[in-house]
Amino acid sequence: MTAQLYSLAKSEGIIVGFYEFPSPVLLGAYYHRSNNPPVILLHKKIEHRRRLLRCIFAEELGHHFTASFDLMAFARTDKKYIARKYEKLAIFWAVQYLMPLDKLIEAVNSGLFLTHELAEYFNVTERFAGTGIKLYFEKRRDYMIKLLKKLPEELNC
Amino acid sequence: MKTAGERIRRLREEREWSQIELAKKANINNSVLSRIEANKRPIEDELLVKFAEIFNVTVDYILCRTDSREKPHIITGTGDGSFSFDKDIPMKVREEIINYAEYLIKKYKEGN
Repeated sequence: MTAQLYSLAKSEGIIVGFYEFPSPVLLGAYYHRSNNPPVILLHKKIEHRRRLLRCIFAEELGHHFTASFDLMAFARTDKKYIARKYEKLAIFWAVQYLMPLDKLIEAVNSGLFLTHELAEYFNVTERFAGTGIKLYFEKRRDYMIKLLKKLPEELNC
Repeated sequence: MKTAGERIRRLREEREWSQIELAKKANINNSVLSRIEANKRPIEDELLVKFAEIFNVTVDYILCRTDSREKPHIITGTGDGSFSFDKDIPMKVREEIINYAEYLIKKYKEGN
């Protein structure tokens, strides 16, 4: 499944590299300077942690697909707010890519409620699965309530 | 030919700051700034970074290595799909990451 992320990156002309980040809190970075190919850097220490790697990789790809010049213009007026909005956009992209909503609904309706079950099903980390469910409930609540056999409150996420 | 001194002068004048005002912001003596703008004095690395921060441009722009003022933007994930937005990344760390990314770009271009 990670191969899919690589090929998506490749088709977008993105350079992907593993790198020993000079900071322990950073696991990935997306870097784009106009007229140059974009770069995604992933921390070397997660190279073999498949699920975490998938999540970080997808999030950085999310930046690629959700970033725009408008957003850059915004970034100058209120950096913090945009950083929030920006980060959230990228994560939501990653969530939609790695755990598509219809598949999630299917999984929940078939009896997978626990975060770790869903994480395993979608091959992502538990935190990512938890974040994904929260984001979906935030953005697509009505749709989900209509289709889910179990109410969100009963989900252990 | 453009020089770093000229760039600093222009950036300062665009903001309608006097030399004294800018010197104060950069925490240097205004005679030092005056000599820098006149290209009579080299700019120390630390001061260069400070100018870049004050004017919100890249060090490369001040050094005339590029005409683009835009800072390349870099967005970071702290991982695991959790929301940690406000972690400020120290300048030095940022520069290191950018350098590595630029190195990859250069290598990529050479290979094509």
